[in-house]
Amino acid sequence: MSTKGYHSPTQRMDLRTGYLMIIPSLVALFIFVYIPLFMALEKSFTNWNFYGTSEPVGFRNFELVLQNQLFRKSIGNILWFVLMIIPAQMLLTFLFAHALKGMSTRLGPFAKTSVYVPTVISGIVASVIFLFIFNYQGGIINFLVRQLGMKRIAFFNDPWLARGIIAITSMWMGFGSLSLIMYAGLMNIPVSYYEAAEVDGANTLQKFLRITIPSMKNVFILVAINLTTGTLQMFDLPYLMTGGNPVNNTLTPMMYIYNNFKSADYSMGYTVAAALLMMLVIGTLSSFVFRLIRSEKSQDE
Amino acid sequence: MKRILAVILVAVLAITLMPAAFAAEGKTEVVLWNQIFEDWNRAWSEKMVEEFNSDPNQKYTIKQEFVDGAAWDEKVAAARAANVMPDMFLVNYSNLKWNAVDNYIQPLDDLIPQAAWDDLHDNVKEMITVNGKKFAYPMMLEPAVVMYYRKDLLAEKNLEVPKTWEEFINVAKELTTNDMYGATMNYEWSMWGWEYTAAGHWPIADDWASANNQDQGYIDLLTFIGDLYANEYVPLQPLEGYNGSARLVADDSVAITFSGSWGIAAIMNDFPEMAEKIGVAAAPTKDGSPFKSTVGGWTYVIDAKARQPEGAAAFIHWLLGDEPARTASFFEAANFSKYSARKSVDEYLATETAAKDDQWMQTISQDIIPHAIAEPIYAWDISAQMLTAIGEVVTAGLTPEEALANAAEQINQFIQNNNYAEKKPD
Amino acid sequence: MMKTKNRHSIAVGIFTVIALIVSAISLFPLVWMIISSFKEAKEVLKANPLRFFPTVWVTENYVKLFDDTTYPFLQAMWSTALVAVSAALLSVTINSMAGYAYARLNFRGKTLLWRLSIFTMYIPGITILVTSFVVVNRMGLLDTYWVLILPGLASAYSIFFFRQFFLNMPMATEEAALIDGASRFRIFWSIFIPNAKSPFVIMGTGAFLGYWNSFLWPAMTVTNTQYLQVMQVIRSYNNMYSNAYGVVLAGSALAALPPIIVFLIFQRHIVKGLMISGIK
Repeated sequence: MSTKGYHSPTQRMDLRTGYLMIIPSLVALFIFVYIPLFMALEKSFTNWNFYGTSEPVGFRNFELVLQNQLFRKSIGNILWFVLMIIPAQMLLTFLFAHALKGMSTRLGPFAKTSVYVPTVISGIVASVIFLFIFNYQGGIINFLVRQLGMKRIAFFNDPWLARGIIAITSMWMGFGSLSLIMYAGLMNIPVSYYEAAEVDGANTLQKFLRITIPSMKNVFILVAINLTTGTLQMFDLPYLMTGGNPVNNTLTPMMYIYNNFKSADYSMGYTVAAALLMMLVIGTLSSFVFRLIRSEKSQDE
Repeated sequence: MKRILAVILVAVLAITLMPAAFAAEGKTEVVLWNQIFEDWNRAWSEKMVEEFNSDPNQKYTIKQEFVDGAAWDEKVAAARAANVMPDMFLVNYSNLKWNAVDNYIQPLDDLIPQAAWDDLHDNVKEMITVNGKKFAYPMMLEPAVVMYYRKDLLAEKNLEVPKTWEEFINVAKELTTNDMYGATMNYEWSMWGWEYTAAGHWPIADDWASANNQDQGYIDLLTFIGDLYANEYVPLQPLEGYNGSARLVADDSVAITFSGSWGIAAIMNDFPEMAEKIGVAAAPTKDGSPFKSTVGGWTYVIDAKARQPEGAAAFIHWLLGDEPARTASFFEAANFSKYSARKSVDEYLATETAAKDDQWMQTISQDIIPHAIAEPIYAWDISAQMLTAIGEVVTAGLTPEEALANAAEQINQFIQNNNYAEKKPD
Repeated sequence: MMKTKNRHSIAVGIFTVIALIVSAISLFPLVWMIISSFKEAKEVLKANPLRFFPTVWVTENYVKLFDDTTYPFLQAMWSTALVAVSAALLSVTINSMAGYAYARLNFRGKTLLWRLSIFTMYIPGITILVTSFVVVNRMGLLDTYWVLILPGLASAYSIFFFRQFFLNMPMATEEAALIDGASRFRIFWSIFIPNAKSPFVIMGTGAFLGYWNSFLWPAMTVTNTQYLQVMQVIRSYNNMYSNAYGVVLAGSALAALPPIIVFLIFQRHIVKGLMISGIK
C-alpha cells in the first residue's frame, strides 16, 4: 500500500475522520448495491414469483439458463460484436491519434473537441440519429445508394448489416475518448527515443515498429480490455435500434436478461440467475483490467 | 466542508419537498394505469374519468395514470416486485389468462351485477373466463388482421382485390413503382391469424405436450412469405411496425398493407382526406377460403392486491357495463374501428349512430368477424419461435422445412424445461 | 534542410486534412439531426436528403414537442437538469471524501472496506435492477427525486479515480498542516480540493452525463409527470411519433444540448483528465 511507512503525527485522529469520510459512500453502496446483490443471489435459487410464494429450486435456474438456446445465441452475438468493434476501433483511434499528433497545432483543439462531442451523447439520441441515417425508406444512405442506381439496402433485415450498424454507432460514440487516450499515449513517448533511433539511421517504419508499438503496449491493453468489458455489456443500442432483430441476431446477453425481466414466460429467479452468470463473466474481465492498472501503478512508485 | 455538505443536502431536500398529492373531498381514490394509444383514445379516457369523478353519486374517484407502451412491461414487473400495482390496469385478452393463472388479478364475478354479464356475447365471455371465473369485463374487440388497400390504384390497373396468395403476389407486383411498394408483409405477433388460417391449428399441440408446426399448411405459409421477400414484392425491411402500418396506404408508401382494425382510426384521424380512396378486406388465403384473423382487445382488470377492488369494479361497471350510450361513445370516438362485446351496445350503435352507414365497419363485421378466432394464450416464447422460423426463411435462406424443424426443436425444449403440458389453464 | 522542411509541412497538411475529415464525420450525424428537425413532416423521410437544408425551415416539430401534454418536454428537461446537477454535486462530494480517506488516512479495516467498495465496480447494473427496485420501494422512495438521485451516487470508479489522484499528491504540505494542528477535513478542503480540479470536473461531468442520459431506471421508478426524465421521454416519443420522426429528432436535438454545453465549458479539464486517466 502506498501509505506504508507513513506515520502522521496525528494518526490517532484518523480513525474517526476516516470513518466519517467513507461512511456516506459505504452506506450508499451497501443499500443500493450489496442488499440488492444478496437479494438477487438468494432469489436465483428460487422460482421467485412476485405474487405467489417462492420455492427453492437449487441450481435449476442456472442449468436452464445455460441450456437456453437464445441465451447461447446472445453470447455468440456479443462475441461477434467484440470481434467487430475492438480491432476496428483500436486501429482507427490509433491512426487518428497519429493524425492528431501530426496535424497543424492551430486546428488540433478543434479536431479533439469535434470527435469528443459524440461521447457525451446518450444511447437513445445516438440510436435515433443512426436509425434515421440508415432508414430504409428515406435515410440518406439509402438515398445515395439509389442515386447510384442500386436497390435500397434493408440494413436491419440482414444480420451482418444490422450488427455492423450497431457497431458503427457504438464506435461513433466511443471514438473521441479512446482517440484522446491513444493520443496521450503517443505524446508520452519521449522524443529522445526517436532521436536516438534517427541517429542509428532507422526509417519511419522501423521507428514505428521498434519504438511506437512497444511504448504503446500498455495503452493498447488498457483500451482493449476496457472496450471489451464495455462491449460485453452492450444493451441500449441494440435494444433501441433493432430490438434484437433480425431473428435474434443482434440480441445481447444484457438484452436477453432484460427481456426476461419484462416477460411472464420465466420466473424472476431465472432472470436473476442469468444476470448473475453475466456478472461472473464481466466481473472476471474487469478485475483483470483493475489488476493491470494497479500493477502499473505500483511500478510507478 | 460540513457546512457545504449541509447546504447541498438542504438544497436537494427543498427540491423534493413538493406539495403532496391532494385527495378529493371525502371520496376514496382508486388508481388506474392506462396505456397510451392514439390521441383520441386518451382524450376519451380522460373525459370519462372526469365525468365519473364529478358524478356526485359515486363514492370513488379515479386517479388515472398513463404509461406508454415502450415502458409498460418493465413498469408492471417492477411494480409487482414492489407491491405497488395500481388498483386496476389495462390488459389485453391474451395476457389476461396468464395474469389470472399467476394470481396477479382477481375475479370480478361478484363485483359486477349479473345483468351486465348477461349482456355479453358468449364468445367474448369465454375470452375473459379462466377456470370458471370471469377476470374482466371486456371493453372491446379488434380483429388483428385487416387488409388495407388503395381502391384508386387498383382501379387504375384494373385489378381486383386479391383473395388468394397468388392474386396477392400478382397485385403486389403490378402496383410496385419506383416510389411506392406494392405491398408489405410484417412478421410480428399478428402472424397468429396467418398461422391458424394456413394450418387449421396452432403450432403447439392442443394438450401443449409438443410442437405441431411441421405440416404442409405451415410450409406453404413460410414459402409464401419467403417468396414475397425473395422477389422483393414487399419492402425487405418493414417501413413501419405492424400496429402502425395502416398509415402506409394513406401516405403513399405502399398500395396494400395489413394492420389491425385500429388502423381505421389512425387513417380517419391523421389522413381523413384519404379515407375514400382506401378500402378494407379480409387478408388473402392460399385457396381463397375465409381468413381467420385473431380477435383480441383490451380491457381493465383488478389487481389481486388492489386496495379498492369495489371502487375499481364500480368504475368498470359504470364505464363498460352500464349505460349502452356511454360505452358506445367509445366506439364512436374510435371511428368504429373497434367492436363491442355487448349485445345492447351493438343495438345502440346500429340504430343510434353513424355506424350503420360505415362501409369499413360493414366489411369487417361481415367478412372478418364471423371467421375470427381468439388469440392463443401459450407463452410468447413459442410464438416467437415461429417468427424466428419465418425470419430464418426470409433473412438466412433456410428452407421452410428446416426453419420449422428448428422451431419445433426449440418449442419442445421449452415445453420440457417448463413442464408446460401441466400448465395449460382451462 | 529545405527539403525535409517541405516534407514535414506536407505531412502536417495530410494529417490535418485527415483529422478534419474525421472531425466532420464525427459531427455530421449531429448536424444532420439538427437540420432535419427543422424539416416539414413529409420532407423528413420522403424528400431528397441531398438537398440537405429544409426547403422551408419550419418549427412545427418543436411546436408539437412543446405542446405534448402526455410527456411535457420542457418540464422533463428541467427536472432532469435538477436531478443531474444535484446528483453530480453530491456524487463528487461523497466519492472524493472516500477517495481521500482511502488514499491518505489510516484506520482499522481500511483494506477490507476499500475492497468492498471497489468490488461493486464489477456488478453490472442490470444484475441488480429488479432487486434494487424492491429496495427503493421498501424505502418509500418511488416517485420522488430521491429515487432518481440516490442509487447512483456512490461510485466505485469515482472513488478509485479520486484515490489515485490523491495518492499522487505530495506529502509535504499536508505534513506541515497537520503539525500546525489543522483537521483532516480542513486539509482536504483547503489543500486537496483546490489542487484536484481535473478529477472533480471529470467525475462531476461524468456523473452529470450518466444521470442526464439514463432512461431505464427512471422508466421503472417514476410515473408522475413532474419527475419524468428527458431520455425516458424521448424513448416514449420514439414510440408515439413513429410517423412524425421530426418530433423525435427535435426532442433528441434539444436533449443533446445540455451535455454538449457542459462538455464545452469544461472541455479543457476533461481532455486533460482523460489523458491522465488513460496513462495512469
